[in-house]
Amino acid sequence: MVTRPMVPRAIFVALLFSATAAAQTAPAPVLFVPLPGEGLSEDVAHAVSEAVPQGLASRLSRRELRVATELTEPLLGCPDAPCRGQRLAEAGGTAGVLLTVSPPRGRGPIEMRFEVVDAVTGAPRGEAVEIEVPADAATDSATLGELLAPTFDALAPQLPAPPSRAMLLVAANLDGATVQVDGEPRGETPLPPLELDPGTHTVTVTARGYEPFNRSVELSLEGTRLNVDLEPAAQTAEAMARQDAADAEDFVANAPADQPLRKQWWLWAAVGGGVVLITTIAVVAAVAGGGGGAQRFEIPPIPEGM
Amino acid sequence: MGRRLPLLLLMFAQCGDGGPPPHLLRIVADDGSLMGNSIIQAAVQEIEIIVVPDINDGRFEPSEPREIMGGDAEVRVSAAGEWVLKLRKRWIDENAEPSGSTFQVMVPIYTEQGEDAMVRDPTLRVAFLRNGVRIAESNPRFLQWPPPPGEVTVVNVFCPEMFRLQCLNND
Repeated sequence: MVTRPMVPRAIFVALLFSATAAAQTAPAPVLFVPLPGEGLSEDVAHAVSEAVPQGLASRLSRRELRVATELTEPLLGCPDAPCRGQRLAEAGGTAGVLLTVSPPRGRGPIEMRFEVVDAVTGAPRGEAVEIEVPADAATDSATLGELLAPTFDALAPQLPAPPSRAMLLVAANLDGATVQVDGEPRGETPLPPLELDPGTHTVTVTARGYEPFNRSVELSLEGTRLNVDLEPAAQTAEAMARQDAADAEDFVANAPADQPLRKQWWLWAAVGGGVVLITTIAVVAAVAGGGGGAQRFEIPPIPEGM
Repeated sequence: MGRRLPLLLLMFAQCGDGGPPPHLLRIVADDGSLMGNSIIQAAVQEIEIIVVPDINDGRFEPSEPREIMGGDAEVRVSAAGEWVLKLRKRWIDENAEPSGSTFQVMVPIYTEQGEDAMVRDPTLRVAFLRNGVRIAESNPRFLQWPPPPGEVTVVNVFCPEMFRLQCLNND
């Protein structure tokens, strides 16, 4: 692991990268995050912003690269690997290429340090690669690209492998629903993303009391999210409507008459009930010594219905 | 004292170690890989567990909030007849354990209701609260009834995009 001390960092050139970032809107699992050092010239920043994404992208077969300058500041504020991993994951990446650029000291070279890290954990996927580039060569993107070519080659094995299978995320509005793909059970919701061959698949989601969900999906290597809104079955919907109607009738039938509050029977019933309840709680608390002890939670019986 | 004796015996019977093991709710804070955003433990001040009887069954008898376990938890039955257990910060801190990059808690539950009861599986929902706001919630799911002793029901709790910052807030 390279441990060379670096100069203080800042987000001096973040704006220069933003135009490139804005153009990249497609889902991109690999994120390139520049971490520029304070005092870096605009010429160098420009050259880096063109040469590095181009060089990296050419080594990322079938996998998108996104320049994520919005992560520059959050990552500079990250104290440890889990923090940066979390930031990368939140931005939708599966890995990140972090480039620390240190401006030249005097007439010295520009120091560049590349590190490929995993999203979520932030763990390095290999040794960091460090290179010194002559300051005058770092102002031209073509020259810089040529100088960095061996570096990109060295980083290539650390980049995530291109996907060979498609991912399908089945996101249902009900947990515990059974998911079948092409007739084969795949488990119950919520499910982690399913790895499937690219192509057409039939997804069936079923749950007791709900209408079955059936959908044919075309999967590409980019992956697909399938939102499943299970609708209550007709019988369940009828039962719900009956219950609502019954509740409404009860409400109307039991509505208090237009009498003074003190003459309402339910007020005194509530007061009496409250007294009984408080007394019961006090007795239970006194006997149980404050309620500690039992480490399990009792759920009362469910009254039987229709 | 004579009047307290039956109550005392009842409580000992319920809290004794010789009974069947409880059913465990394994409540997992999603790390954003299934849905939504990652949730850190420090962001969660309360966990709310709600059991709702099937529409065709009766409701639980409403009751006022009652503090248990020395105030670490609160149990009540809402006006809508839903059983609500609220686990407070101290209980969460004592019982949370790491789960991947997030955390989980195991909540032991039981009921005295027998297997011969003619009731349908109730619905279970779990929510994480911060400053009284539900910042993360599970999808509703059926809870096998009565909850089989010794078995585990997994509940994933998701943080929607609108609460992304709150789910990562450890202030």
